[in-house]
Amino acid sequence: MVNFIILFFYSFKYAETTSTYLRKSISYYEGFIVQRNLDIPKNFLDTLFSNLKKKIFLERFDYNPIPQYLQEKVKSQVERFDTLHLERISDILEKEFVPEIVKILEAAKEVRAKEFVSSEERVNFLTTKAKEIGVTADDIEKVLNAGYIFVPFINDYSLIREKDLIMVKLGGGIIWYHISMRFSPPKLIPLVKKSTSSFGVANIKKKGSYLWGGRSLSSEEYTQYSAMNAFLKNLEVLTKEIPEFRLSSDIISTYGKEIIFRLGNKEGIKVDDKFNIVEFYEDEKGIRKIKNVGYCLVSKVGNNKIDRNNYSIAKRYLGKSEAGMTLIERPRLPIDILFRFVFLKEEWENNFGIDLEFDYNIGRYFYFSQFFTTFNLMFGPEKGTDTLEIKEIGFGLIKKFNFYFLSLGMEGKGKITNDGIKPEGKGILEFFLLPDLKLGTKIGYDGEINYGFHLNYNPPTLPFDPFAIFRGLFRL
Amino acid sequence: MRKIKTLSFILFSLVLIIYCAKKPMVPATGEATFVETYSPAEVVILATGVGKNLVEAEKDARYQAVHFVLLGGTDPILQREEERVKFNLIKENILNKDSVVKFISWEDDKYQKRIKLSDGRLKISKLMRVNKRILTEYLVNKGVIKGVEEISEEIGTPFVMVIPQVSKDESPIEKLATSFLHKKAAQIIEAFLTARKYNVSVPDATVQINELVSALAEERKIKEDISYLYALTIGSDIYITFTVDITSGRYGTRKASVGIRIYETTTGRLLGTETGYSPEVQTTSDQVVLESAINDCMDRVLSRMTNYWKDDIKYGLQYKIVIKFPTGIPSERLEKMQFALLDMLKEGVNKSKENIVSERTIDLIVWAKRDKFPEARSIYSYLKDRFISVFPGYTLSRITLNRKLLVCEVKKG
Repeated sequence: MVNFIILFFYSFKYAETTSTYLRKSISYYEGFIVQRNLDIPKNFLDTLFSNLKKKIFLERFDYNPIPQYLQEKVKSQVERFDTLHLERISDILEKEFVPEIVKILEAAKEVRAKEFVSSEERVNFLTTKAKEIGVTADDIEKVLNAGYIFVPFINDYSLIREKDLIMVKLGGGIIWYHISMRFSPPKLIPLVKKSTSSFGVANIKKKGSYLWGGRSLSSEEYTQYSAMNAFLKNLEVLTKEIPEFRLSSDIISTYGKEIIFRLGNKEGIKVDDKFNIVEFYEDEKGIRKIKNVGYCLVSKVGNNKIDRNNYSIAKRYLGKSEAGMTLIERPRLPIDILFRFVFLKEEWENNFGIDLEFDYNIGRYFYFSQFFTTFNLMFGPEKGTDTLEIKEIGFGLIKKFNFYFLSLGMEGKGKITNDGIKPEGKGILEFFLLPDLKLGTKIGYDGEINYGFHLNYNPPTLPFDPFAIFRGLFRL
Repeated sequence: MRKIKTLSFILFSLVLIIYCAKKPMVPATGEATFVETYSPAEVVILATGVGKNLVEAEKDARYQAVHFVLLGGTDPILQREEERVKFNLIKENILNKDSVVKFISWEDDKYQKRIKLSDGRLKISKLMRVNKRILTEYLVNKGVIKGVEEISEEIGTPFVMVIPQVSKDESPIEKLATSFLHKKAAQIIEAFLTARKYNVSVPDATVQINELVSALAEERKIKEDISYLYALTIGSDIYITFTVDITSGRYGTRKASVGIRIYETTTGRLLGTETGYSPEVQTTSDQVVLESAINDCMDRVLSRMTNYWKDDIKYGLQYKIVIKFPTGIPSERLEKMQFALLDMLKEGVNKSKENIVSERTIDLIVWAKRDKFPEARSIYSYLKDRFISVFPGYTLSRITLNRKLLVCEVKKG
């Protein structure tokens, strides 16, 4: 445990002194350690694990596949645990997995070490004149020291039925171990434990089944999938937040608000990914510290799979930036949550509404910056009463254009109201108050003008998937 | 009121002058480190600069890199006092933070270090390649230092022999013929020397050590230094010996270390020793690490050599002269002859240093002006003519004569 704490803090300190992300290679225990007395369906666990792999196998990692017979061997030993014995799990993995991983790393070290040849090594005598690849013993050492293993666990699962609703709660996380080659033989050291929880809801009265990724699901399965989706997205963000795995890069140059940096699609960055702009500084005692001095959004992703000098571009939206400063990833969910106060039609008795809106950034999947699908639920006082009712359910598309801390946008949507289905166009003006918080206004026209003010928050994690919850509740 | 106005004007002018005065051109940090010799013309320096902003800090780092090559480290371009004095007169033309960039041939786009100091200034460290050749040529053109051509005009083109250092039982010539790496090392050193316009010789099997030279060396108890014997036989001004060691590094990498020594031929005096190391690198060819290791130290070796050469200019060309005397000359007469010969030499040359003066031999080093004695043969001719006129019935006869060495004997008749 002491080791764990020391390494945990060491890892943060290390992150302060490095400025460029070095690729890591990961292996995993194929299965979950499930806490005693949790009654989780086997097929759900299998689905959860296969989806977990998709989420955690980030492009910033290389993979060290473990042969199936070793997985089985470890499984038979680990399955006996019903609580998280970090040290005991570590002993088993160290005995069974580490020798195999070392073999894999030994075989792959030369290829992977090419990644670690620094920019200055690429222009020295060895690489330019002697035409060597420039891999040094230090580069190989980095490869051998970049091995990690993760073990997923589940410590909470419950299925609750109440009236027409069914709800699944899911809690768990991942334990990360580092393979330290500083010892002979190499040792497995617990690095960090990340955990999260989520829930999913569905209405059991739905006629027919719920559709999910081309599959038909029962209400119970749908709630499991809904909880799983939020759970995995959170785990992805939490993994990205681990200092060792957090992408970072020096700023090569700046041009106005544009920042050119050395990461690209090889590391899996996408448009609208956020980065902190940090600067190292010395305090009066000469102690080196790190400070966030700005924030930026990726606007163009460089294809560094083909050409490693194909750099990416980010746009600063807060603070300052300068060549030589460092970008550090700021992992966030690709969802914006808007809480909006809306002024509605004049003739209504209580002419206001409270709008809850969820904007999914879908543009990042096809390199189209600041492009969202949106759905919203607007609540307002029922005519003639003080009780709140749903006044509007809307679906639409948003495109925004960022100019430093200002954001201008257009929204087109269709909405279901008490008056029937209507199209609506909106103009958006927002500005960043904080790195993840914007204050803004929208003016809409659906035959009549409405307007409102909103706060827009981009969260790191959410305990639920808003759209899945919405579908579950409204039997869509 | 008028007084107040005048005083205010003076005060304002003073403030303006102080503010606008050119800041003294001293690097803010003084931090710079030699990284590698990239090519015979360029060196890579890790320079640190400090400034109120990034632009100023970068300017300071460039300034610092060039300042280091000119005046810093163990082997700067400007080593001699008179060079530094001359340099101070034109310092602002070269060490100007705005124009120093012309001597930088490459700058890394990555900062090795970038840190904001507690006083608000920015400190950066960056790799830079300084074009030492352009810098040297500039200084030569400005008359601050002497170029190799200029030195050559005064004392002839320096002639350097390159040979591997071997153990007692080995022959360096055989080593060059049989060991590919030693041959390659000699070639790489040769490339550096020819790039600096030195005449280079790597002896081959056709060179036979002069027996007399061998005997001389034995007399001076340095017979075991076979490189010295070769250098004297060939008549080089300087000779360079080298050792090569290539080992396996961590994780199957290769690493080379090279030891280079420079000697003055006439005396066998060690002028400098340098060791170069390559990084532990993954390579299929040992030549690559070998060249990297030589690159690591060759610039310093050449710097030592050039400075030695410049020092030697003051006194002229250096020759080793050995005069042998036959038996049967009465001791009084012999002593007269020896003293006379030594006086003749001292009259003709700038400086001399006696190594051995015995009954049978005089062994000395002389420094002579090039216009008077451009080669050892002219000293021989000078001595012979005078000796015959002073000691009729005796003559001087040549035994060995090459660029640097004159061995002759006194004969009756």
